[in-house]
Amino acid sequence: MTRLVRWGAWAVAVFAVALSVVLASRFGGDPNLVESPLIGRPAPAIDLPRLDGAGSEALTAGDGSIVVVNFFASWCLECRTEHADLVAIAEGFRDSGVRVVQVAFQDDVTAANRFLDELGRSPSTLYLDDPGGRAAIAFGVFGVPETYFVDPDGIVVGKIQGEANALLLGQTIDAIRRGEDPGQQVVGDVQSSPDG
Amino acid sequence: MSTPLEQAEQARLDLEELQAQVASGEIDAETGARLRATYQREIELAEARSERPPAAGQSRSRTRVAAGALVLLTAIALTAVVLSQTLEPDPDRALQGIAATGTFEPGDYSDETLEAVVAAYSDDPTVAGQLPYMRFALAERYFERNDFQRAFTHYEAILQRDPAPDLFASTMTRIAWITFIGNGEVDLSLQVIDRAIEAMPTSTEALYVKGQILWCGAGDAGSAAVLFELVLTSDQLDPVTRAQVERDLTAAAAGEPCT
Repeated sequence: MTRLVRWGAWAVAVFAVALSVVLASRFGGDPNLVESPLIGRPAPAIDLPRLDGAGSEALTAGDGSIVVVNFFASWCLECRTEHADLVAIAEGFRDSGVRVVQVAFQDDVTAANRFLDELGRSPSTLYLDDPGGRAAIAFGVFGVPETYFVDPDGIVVGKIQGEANALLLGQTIDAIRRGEDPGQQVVGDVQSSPDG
Repeated sequence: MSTPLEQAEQARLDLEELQAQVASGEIDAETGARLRATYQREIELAEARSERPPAAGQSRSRTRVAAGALVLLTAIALTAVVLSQTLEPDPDRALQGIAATGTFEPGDYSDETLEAVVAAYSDDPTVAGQLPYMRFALAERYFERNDFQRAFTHYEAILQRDPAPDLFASTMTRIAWITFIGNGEVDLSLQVIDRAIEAMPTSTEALYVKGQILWCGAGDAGSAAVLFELVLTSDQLDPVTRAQVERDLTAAAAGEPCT
């Protein structure tokens, strides 16, 4: 009986150590490096209001297109820098079965529209509001800018965390078109709130 | 040498082929309309001279287009030499401002990606040295597909940004070719190719293309032969290109019309 208790105590200790190692590696490090749990899973099916106020749109249409979902905010410096690249990507892939959707993250509609008025819009991009952060929560957005890639079957196959550029965005889309899963790429910091 | 009636028949076949090319989008409507007018004029001319033999060395559109396909392939082989020299790993020319990966290899990216990059970075001074080469690589893809309209847009953009002499010469060579094969403008294409040679006197592709225009467009086989001879002095030609230029030299030196 004593031996059994000793064995049980030893097993519990080993389990505790193992658990602490797992938890430490999962939560104790840089949260930027945690792989998005959404990769490999179907994209969240959410309807969001358009930033221009003209009704609402499905985030991912399920029409066989590759969908690039970018979360941005008017208060995010990196978002300003990458915006022209997103517009260029939307235009470059306009007739190639790729849809770009930009979702305002923790931003008010007026500020987000002012940001787009200043930096430009692509006629082929959907600009959406995310009241209550439903889409951000569903995608597990940690901060902005973050960009998700949904394949023609509606599966999230890629994510760029941090400021992307046209070459990286295009390279990721090219990989998806070749049937590859680009996975997660951390290229820079993200801001989780206007205060940083 | 075919008879005027055979020439008229050939021009009719060209016309049919052209209609199919326009319908499939291979040739844009504007170019198609221009070529259609040319072929119809040739039919009328050939029928009018059906009692007379055609003048020696006179070029016809069919011959020119066939030769065009040939010169195009050869010119691309020559371009490959130019590009591989230009885009080989060179830290100063790597697109480090855009891609953290360093060296940029255009073949790794789709047309759409290259279009997006040149659009987003066309005014970025940090990549001003590299971007024209990326744009040229993109234009070459359109040029190889005979999509001259798209290619021209990028060639024009390259010229607007004061390119290096090698790039200027290659770009002007393409424009000369488009002017010749797309628009049938022999004199103008010769003026353009002369600008290319002026900027880069050793450009084998420019010399070769000028030879082709002189031979197939102006019917000047003798001057073409001189240029082909000059091209063959280059040690940069791959064996296939060299063999092609040698065949052209033999034919032009013998005073044969281009085929």
